[in-house]
Amino acid sequence: MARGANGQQLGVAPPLDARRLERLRLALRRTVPSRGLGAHLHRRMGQSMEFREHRTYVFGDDIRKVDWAASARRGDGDDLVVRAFEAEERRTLVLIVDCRLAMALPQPLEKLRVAFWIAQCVMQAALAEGDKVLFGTLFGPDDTRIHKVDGPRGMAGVRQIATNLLARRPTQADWEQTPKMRVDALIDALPPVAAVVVISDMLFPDQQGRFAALSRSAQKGFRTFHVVELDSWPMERAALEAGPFRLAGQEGRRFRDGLSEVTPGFLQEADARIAAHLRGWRRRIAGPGLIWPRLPYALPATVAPTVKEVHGWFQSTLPTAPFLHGLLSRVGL
Amino acid sequence: MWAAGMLAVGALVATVAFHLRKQTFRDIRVSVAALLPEPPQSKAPKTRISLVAPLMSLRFWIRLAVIGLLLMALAPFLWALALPAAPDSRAVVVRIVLDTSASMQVGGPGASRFDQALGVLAGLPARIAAAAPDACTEWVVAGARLAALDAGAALPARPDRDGAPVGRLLAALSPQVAGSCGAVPSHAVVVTDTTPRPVSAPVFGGHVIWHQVGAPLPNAAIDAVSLLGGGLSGVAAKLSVRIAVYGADLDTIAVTGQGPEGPLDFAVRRDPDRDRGWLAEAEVRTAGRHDIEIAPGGGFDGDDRVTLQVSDPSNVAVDWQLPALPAPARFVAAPRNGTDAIRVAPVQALTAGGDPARAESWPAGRFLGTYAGWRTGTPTEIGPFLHQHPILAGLNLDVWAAGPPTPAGVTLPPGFVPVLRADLPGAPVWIAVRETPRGAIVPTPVPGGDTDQARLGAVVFFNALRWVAEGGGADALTPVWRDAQGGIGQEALSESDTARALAEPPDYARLGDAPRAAPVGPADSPVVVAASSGTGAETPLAPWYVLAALVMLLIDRAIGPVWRRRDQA
Repeated sequence: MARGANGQQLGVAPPLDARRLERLRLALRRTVPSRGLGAHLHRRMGQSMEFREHRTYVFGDDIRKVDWAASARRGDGDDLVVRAFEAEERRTLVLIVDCRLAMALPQPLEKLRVAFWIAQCVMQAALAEGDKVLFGTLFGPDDTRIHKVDGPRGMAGVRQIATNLLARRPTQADWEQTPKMRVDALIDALPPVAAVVVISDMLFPDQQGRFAALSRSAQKGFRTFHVVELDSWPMERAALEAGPFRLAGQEGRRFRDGLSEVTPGFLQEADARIAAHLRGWRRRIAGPGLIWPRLPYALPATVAPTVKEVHGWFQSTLPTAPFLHGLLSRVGL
Repeated sequence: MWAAGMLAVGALVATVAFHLRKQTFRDIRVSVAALLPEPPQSKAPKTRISLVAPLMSLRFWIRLAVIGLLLMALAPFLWALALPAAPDSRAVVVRIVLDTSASMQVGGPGASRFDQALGVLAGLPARIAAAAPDACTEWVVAGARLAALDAGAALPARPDRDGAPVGRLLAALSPQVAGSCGAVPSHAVVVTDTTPRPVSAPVFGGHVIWHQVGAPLPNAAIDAVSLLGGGLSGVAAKLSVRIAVYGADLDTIAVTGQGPEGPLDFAVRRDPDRDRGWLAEAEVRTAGRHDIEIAPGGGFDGDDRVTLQVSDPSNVAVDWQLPALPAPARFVAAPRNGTDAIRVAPVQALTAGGDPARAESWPAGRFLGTYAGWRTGTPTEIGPFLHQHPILAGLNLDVWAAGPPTPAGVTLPPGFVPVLRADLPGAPVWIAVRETPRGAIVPTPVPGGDTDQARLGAVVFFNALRWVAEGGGADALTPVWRDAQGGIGQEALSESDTARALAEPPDYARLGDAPRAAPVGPADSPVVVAASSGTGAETPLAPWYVLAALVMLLIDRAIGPVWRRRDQA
């Protein structure tokens, strides 16, 4: 377990108790149902294709549901009409956590730890909703294995995976290796109707288009593809600004051996490169089923937060996290 | 040792300074590294000194412990050795050692070395007073006896008749010899006829002034006397006298002797094995007292004459207790008061009433023990045996193995050595010997008979008898050196070298040197004894301290990577 600045330990279980999460879930469910509102970031998934009603098209609706004949008959100028179907509420949630070594940074609040916190919160809520939950990893030691999480035992299994990943003690050679992604098992395991959630910092390169392929599969049919982007750059930037440093190389990138320090120009260039990389991803995986909020889930910008500070940050930011609404509510953003 | 101490202090300071040094930079790993440009170089220094005590650093404490353990290992040497001290750090105690051994008489009355030594001693108090007015002076005589004189006691008028090894002079310097001043001496003056020699600090930590007296004088000495032949050797017995010459070589030397039946006729020749040595031999036919003298004797006369007792050189006295086997003619019955007779008897008789496994059960003198072993023996392989032992001379071991005796069945006590053993479980012994004084255990010979067993038995028995007889009795030859007056002088040969070169007179200015920082305190203090004798009353702990320091170093190396990661975490 990582330690906070005061030596206390950060755990694998999310610092959000079950009652609080349940209240959050129920609060999200009390939002106005989708009738009359668009759901461009949230697809109602279900097995039934029974027609229920026509309603006015709102920005974000699946263009395939536009009833052109009804729209023409309506003759209201630009107003289109979409078909709404009866859909079963039970759906499948597929959670995928990015397990690259870089996700084990920054210390002491690793993105991987936060990712597993989020994953457990979402799984718990989904299980309470009666949804099926599947769990997999990207860049992990066993990407080919998809875990079915159907209760406390399944949750315990996920926590064990988190513990094992967080306990890794990589060597410098491990850090310098380029991580490899395997997505075939994940793609094969996607049910026809599912919300596929990837929790990652999205800072990895797309090796041979594999992630793009996953994204495409996850947006087919009645699936939606959610990206929960974790942003640790503010915290890492603050660490770099704290004084002279010696930067360690990783994922094929090496730096000079001597001391370095940041300058405004360096930070500006770094900001630009990170933003360009993320823009590139948005372009590559854009699709009708992609739900990737504009604002990432940002880690605190403190260099060495205490355990208490970390817990406080998570408890205060998660309920209002943009991705959470899209996942747990019936309302799109 | 000052250097070692300074080195230790330097290591301590360096360790503290090393741990006060803090890194000014951090080793950072960021998740966006793959996207970052090359960061600008920093000109900041890599380390700085932080005056915060590294109390939480385990490695700091380990390194301190290593230095401390090494200092503890060095401490006895720093403590015990003489170190320069500030003036007036302790009182001046001068020990004067006078050699009173027999060789100090060389030179004749009125001009002997002892007279010269007394002359030197007469002037010493004035010298001491001039160099150290407040010094305390004590006197020790070292000769046949080693004794500290009481304050004001008179010096001996003449040297001892007996000799003494040079080590006695060094022993006289030891603080364990409590002088009249009641404190460890800081200076010593040794007046002797032996050449100056270095005195190591563990022996005496103070300043030593060695004053040799006596011009070199050539000397001849009877070095050793031995008896050759006689007994069962088949040749006439002879006294062999070895003569050593010190100083100028002698062109000739006369050796005379007197025995019970008259003068001894010595044939004198050069000793081929020693430079300037001589050998003299004379036949001896009669047991009893023999006196031998050499001339010229040289400077020291205590080594020119010896007296010795010779047992019957032609016959061997035995106490024959084998009724079934008559004693050979060359053996004579042991005199009633004879203590040197060889006991020839069955083993049971020799150890009667005692446990044969105990050495005390066997005769203290020479013996030949027999056991009834020659029966119809079954062939038995020969086991371990002493190759070329005289008892096995002429023995055909193949014939022995074909029909050996029954083993002795005796548990050999300490001091006994098996000569021939059987290759059977337990390796039972057929023949065994004791070296000092000689004894042997052999099968009882079968009288008469022309069998292999009879012949083997006879060969073994008489080989053993000759071997035991050749060993010499306890009092066969114990030369006693006498002086011209006939007095017995112990350790005479320690005084023979009177031709030692005379060293230059010493520099008495050293009497004014400040006392060394040797331990001050009562002479029986364990630290003083340890420092002076070099052997410490207690087991030295220095090696254990060094071992502990090495173990700590290993721990430091082992935890280094772990601790570094923890520091960086």
